[in-house]
Amino acid sequence: MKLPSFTELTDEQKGVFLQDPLKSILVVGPPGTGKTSCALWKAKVLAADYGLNVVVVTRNRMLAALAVQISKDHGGTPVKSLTMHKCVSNDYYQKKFSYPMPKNGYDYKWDEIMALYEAEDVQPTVDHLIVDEGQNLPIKFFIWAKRFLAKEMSVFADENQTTDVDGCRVDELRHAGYKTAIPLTLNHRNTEEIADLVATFHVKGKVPHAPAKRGRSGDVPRLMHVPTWRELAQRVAVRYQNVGAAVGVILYKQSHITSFHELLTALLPNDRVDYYTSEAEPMAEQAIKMRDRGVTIISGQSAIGLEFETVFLQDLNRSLPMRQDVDYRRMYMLCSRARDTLILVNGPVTLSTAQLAALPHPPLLER
Amino acid sequence: MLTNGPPRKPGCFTMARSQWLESLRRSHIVDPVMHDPRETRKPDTRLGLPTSWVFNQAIGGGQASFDESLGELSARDRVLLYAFFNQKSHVNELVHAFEKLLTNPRDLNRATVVDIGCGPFTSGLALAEVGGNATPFRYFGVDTSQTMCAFGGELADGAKAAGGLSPETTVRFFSSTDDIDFGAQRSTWTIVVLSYLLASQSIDVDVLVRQIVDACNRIGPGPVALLYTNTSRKEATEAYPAFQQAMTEAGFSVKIEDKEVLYLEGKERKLHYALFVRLGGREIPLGEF
Repeated sequence: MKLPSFTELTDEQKGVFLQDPLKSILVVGPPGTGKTSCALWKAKVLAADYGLNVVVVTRNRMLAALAVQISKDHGGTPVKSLTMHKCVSNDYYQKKFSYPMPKNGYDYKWDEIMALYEAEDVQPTVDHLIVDEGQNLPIKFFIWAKRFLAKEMSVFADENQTTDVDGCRVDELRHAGYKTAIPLTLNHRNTEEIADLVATFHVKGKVPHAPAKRGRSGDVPRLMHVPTWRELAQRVAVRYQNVGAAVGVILYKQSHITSFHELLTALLPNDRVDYYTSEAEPMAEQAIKMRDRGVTIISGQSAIGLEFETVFLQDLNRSLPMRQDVDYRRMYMLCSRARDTLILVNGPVTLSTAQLAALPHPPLLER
Repeated sequence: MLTNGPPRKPGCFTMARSQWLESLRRSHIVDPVMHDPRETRKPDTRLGLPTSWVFNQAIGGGQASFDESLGELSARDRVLLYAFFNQKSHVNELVHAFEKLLTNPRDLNRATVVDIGCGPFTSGLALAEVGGNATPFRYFGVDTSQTMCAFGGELADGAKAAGGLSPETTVRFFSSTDDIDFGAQRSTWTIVVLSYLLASQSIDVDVLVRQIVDACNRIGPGPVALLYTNTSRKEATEAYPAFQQAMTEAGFSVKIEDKEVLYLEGKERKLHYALFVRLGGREIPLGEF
């Protein structure tokens, strides 16, 4: 019999929904299913092959920077990649609307903004807007973008990773004109051990947790107790020196990120040790080669959409024990950042008995 | 029409089967027939009955009503004889197909297998042979004959006890796909097997395709592959064009459809086969989120 292999069919599956690049699509998939790479592939094809004006929008600066790096790897001119805030404010002031933008704290007053655009009869100028991690952006952004910014808009999202209070639900995207969502169903990132642990944080959703394509590695996620920041730095340094991978350290507080960077730089003076906080200088994130050998220290909020071979996850305290959906979602998103090795860090402030009890038990998580 | 050429070794189709599979066939099928008190070991007979009668009437080429006794044969006897005469070559055919599909056995990991017209766990045995016991999957056998399903369960238990199946593999049997509760939705591969089902004249193709599509949608949004095999004899393939059309209309694409001559056990087997896939899964209406 002349039959194709499932592996060949799976490769083909990846391209099924990209067959018509000009079409606006909504793609929904769990972590590691390739949303970002599909989004950037689509952006590249539209820009390079069709010569269209394409803009990629993501939630945070680190992911926007990664998008630029990956698009450079694809060859050719990097696509324009922005955070939502940058995208909206750029467009607002380019259209000569008056300062300041209608805002309530950090939140845009979308109805007022849209009324201004409506009064000026603004027409979309971007050929295709591509939104990655769309679940973390407010629904009004999509409505505004579809009406005034872009002629076509493709959205990549995960219904289970909404970690922002103002993020939107997948079903709300009907207000931006979508009728159906295309599911992505295979996890290409995590080992099976990590995917199994991540699955325990999966909040019930329409798209099931994606099984790991890569198989088992024998490297079971583990919980590591460290009493001090210094000891955590030593553990990270030893791990890095032994494995030499792209290591991510995910902390909660911005102040911890800068002080931990100092500790780790002292231990690894000749290696890449980068850190990123939301207060970083403009464009600082562009210089962080987070996929290369070295250590990247970031906050949980900046980790959305990123991946590292090894992850030390210390940002646990605020999510444990999980009480609301958002706690599950945050754990789900953070644990799935690890490709090969996941180490949950208990310390320097020791987790309570209730917090420890909320974490999975062996064989999913070694303690 | 393609041929595989003459067999390299008479009676041998591909590589020798695993020890557990050979032993399972011997202990559960061959020995019970050959050691039956009615077995005379006379040429061209089984259980003291002419093999031509057994094949054409007792097992009806696989299309009989297996829950009914016939003459001196109990329902169980008929199922056993069916396995004795038909199962080995069907397993071999399916092993051949699954070896092509599962070049990486990992693709079978946690897959959902729906074997419609399953007989005695035939495609489950072939999948175990190809996937090995480190690759768990869940198997739903569908057959209108309870006796056939019960015997399939015995073979599945035997395969598991012999280490041919992963301890995590689950095996259940139903009389209709409509009765299956697939539980929480999942994204792993769904493999639907239709081995010789369409040879039966009583199959309503539209109902069958509706049941397949319903089952796949209940399983989840992952990719689906449907393997169809049948004899290529004209009368057995009459339902195929309508089946292909209904599957295509239901969103499946035909990856390949062909006829081929296989040499099994030194005999020529004329095979009609096809692979249908639905790769992108089902687009989900936003109202369902």
